[in-house]
Amino acid sequence: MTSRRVRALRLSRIVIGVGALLGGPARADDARPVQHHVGASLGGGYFGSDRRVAAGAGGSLTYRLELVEHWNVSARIGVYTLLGTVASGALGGTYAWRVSRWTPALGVEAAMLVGDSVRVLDSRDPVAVGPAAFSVRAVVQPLRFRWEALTVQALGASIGPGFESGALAFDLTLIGLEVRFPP
Amino acid sequence: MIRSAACLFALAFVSCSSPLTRFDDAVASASAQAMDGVDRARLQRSVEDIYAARRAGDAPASPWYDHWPLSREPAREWVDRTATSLGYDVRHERSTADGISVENLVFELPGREAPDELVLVSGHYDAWFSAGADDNASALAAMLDVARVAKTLAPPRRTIRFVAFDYEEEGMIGANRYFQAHASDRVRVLLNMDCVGYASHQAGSQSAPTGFALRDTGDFLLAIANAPAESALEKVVTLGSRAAGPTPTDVVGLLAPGDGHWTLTEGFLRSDHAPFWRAKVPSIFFTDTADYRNANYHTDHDTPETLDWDYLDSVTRIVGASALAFANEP
Repeated sequence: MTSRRVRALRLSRIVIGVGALLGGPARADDARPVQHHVGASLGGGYFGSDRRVAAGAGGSLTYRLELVEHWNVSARIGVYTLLGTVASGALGGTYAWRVSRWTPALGVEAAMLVGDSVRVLDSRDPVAVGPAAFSVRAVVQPLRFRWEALTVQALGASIGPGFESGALAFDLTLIGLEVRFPP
Repeated sequence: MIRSAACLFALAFVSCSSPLTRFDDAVASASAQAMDGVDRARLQRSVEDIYAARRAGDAPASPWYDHWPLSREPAREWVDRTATSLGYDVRHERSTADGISVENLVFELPGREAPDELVLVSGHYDAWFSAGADDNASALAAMLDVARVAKTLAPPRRTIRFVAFDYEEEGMIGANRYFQAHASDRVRVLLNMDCVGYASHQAGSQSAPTGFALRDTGDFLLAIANAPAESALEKVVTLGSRAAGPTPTDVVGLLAPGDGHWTLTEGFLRSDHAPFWRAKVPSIFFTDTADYRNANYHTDHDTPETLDWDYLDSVTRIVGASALAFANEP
């Protein structure tokens, strides 16, 4: 057995062990190469604090790396419009369960929003509001399904506090589609 | 640009903030000090006089809004009489279109250095139900007291023009007609007042449109501005606390993006500043937030007894000092 095979075997055992701990189906073939997915989604976003309100509906593009069977990291950029135009970006990770084709996921993401917003200026605390707003959010994707290279999700949400006084941020995904590449 | 870029790439999760733009210090001090001439008792008397004149006058039924009675003439006469008594030459700008006759009242304090550059101070004079103490006798009283104080001072560098608009309640008809007739004017900033006399110091007395966070006590002056008025709004907010007078009144500014065509900010265009705002004229709308604070809004109960005279005094000082400062700043 070559040293490469030994390392692969060890890695597969680790993956099986983690999978067992997390309750997922543990198979030796889980230790497969990282998979790449690209996708697009439609939905809306909101960021409200004592200092600004940004909200809108629009779309986003997603790039997701499926590290092992259950673990994903993803990057997302989107544009929303309704109260001005807002660009948003997010980096996060999710854990996806797999029940046949149903693959609900939970995770966290750090998000940044830049663009138009209704800004609040207060004579009690007269400082200008910066152009960017940040938040950390829990990601919930209950209706997520996978068919071979295709992943579809509906009514997903991410919600969490922002890094401003009284801030709440959330994104709602009405429908999203991802394709694995190469298929 | 560099600051914005720096902010974007600043340490994650740290939001950049910086001081607001301010009026030149000497101009701000002189303007705030000048507004010490605002007379709280006179403001109260003005609102009561307008209200009494409306109650005694005619209010024809509106052809559009469920035949609600709309009072116009009594307040128009009061503005005309009061401004004339202060020494202003009042122009009656009449127009008829689409079967609607409109009469806006315009009077001004000519600028000594840039007379063609205008600082507009405005409010509408029509009112539902022959009441309208807050909506909008409060603004007329404030505007005329600012006009009275300004008349006692040295002429401003730029022209301060006061406009009492007709038919705001029917869809800003007076303001639209005025804007069409004066589209080529050089307006430095429009300061429009609508409902500026009602305050409550009770926690929970203030509400806000869904999704917007305002303080929950309705004792502040809201100033809503369009994007071209960004620095003007910052100046008003920083001047606010200096100019408020004996009763401190905070100014909360809302700066809306764009020209108001965004769906969620259409609600910010509920008064006579709308045609100016849409044309990207720097515009600031001063209000006590109307029905988000005052349950008497657009009812027969909008009476002088419900107003807060200290609050109206502060608002008059803030708007007056802002008008003077915009008219006199370098």
